[in-house]
Amino acid sequence: MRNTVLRTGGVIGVAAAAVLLASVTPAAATTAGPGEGSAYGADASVSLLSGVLGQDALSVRTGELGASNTAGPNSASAVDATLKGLVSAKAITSSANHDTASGDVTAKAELVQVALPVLAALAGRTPTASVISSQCHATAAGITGSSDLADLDLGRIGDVAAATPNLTVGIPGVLQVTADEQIHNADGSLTVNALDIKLLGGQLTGALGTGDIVLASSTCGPATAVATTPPAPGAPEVSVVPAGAPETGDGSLATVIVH
Amino acid sequence: MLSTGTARDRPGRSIRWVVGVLLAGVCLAGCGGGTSASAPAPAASTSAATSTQQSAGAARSVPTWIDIPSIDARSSLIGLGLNPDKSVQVPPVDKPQQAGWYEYGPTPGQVGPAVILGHIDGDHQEGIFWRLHEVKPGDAVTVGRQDGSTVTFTVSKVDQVPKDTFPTSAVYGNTTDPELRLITCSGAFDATTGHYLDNVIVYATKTN
Repeated sequence: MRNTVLRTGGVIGVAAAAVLLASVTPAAATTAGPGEGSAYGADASVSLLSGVLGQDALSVRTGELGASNTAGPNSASAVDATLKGLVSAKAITSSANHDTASGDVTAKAELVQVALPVLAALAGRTPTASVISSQCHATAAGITGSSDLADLDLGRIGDVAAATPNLTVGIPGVLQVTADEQIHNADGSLTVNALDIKLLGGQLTGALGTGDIVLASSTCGPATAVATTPPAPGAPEVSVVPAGAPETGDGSLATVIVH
Repeated sequence: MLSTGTARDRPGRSIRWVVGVLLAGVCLAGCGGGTSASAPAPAASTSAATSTQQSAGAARSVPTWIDIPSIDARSSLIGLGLNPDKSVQVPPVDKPQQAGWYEYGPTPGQVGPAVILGHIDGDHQEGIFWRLHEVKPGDAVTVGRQDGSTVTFTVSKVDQVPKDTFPTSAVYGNTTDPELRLITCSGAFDATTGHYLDNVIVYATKTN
């Protein structure tokens, strides 16, 4: 068995490539403000030609499977998940957490024992991986992300085992597979997709259809700035005193209005 | 055919239920200006801060609900942090009946000033603290905590103060006993700035 483990530690950079990817990837819509993060195991939105998976043409929008968010739920899991026969995984887990004490944001998504029947015809056999995962981590120093693609075997499609984010393989006009896709969103958040499979069209020989399948996606907004040390004895009981006065109302029922 | 297992914390249900949660984190402005907590969120971790333990105070346990019988106000509580400008977060203004607890301070029952905030109004509805100005010294305020305990406070003072002279030290400064602060907006509403001009602040101490 091919034993490729891709572990890339991409720091924010590669701006030009990121902007391009952000413009064409549905996952770019998943953004996060300070202290926010999210993750999901898989999201497929594809239209397959007849004969790719069964006799009939197939249109699939799965939504985000195994999704978690810092706003809750903070974790999600599923076992023996299949995406309409496109992708299967023995287990999907994800988590997204904001540590209010440190301000850090972490998000992780992982699929275990993955098979990609949707790519079987192009790969020569059903592509598999033992683990497909991504993670991101936001601290006061910035946001970093990485992906693991353990034992990923894409057969004839190509090899994405390199320690470089946003490495792509594929077949022009038919298929583009991006490994460790790192998208720098306009709001300052970072999205890491361990594997992004784009079906590019339906006109060429070997074509599968159109659409996008994202596996193991993690998004982290910037860390929040708060005091990082708990108060010592004798220290203020309120560890961080807010600035100014609270704004608690929108005036929609105010009886005296000053212009 | 979509075939998925079950979410760990919701046995027997499809994992599809989690998808909509991503749509729920929309931040809404309080008083037309500030940034509110994207909530309801789970209560803050008990590790967020620790307070000096004194004999009069309980252990730290995040508050889960508040009840003010004299003004018929009762709400669950969400955790409130800080906005990027260091102002305190407020609950979502489109859910004006939701109150929140400032999580970088003591929990109600601990020694120190626990701070609970609520809207006076929002989205053309009365807020949880619409009648906070009617609270009188001697009124009871009860707070439930995650550890199952309840703490009852007795109102000692009710102030209405201009926002530009907000008494930060009196509200957030150290106290020798477990105390409670309830805060909302009040006074005239400045349509130009989108802010109320005053705050109502209720001071309460733990009932012995």
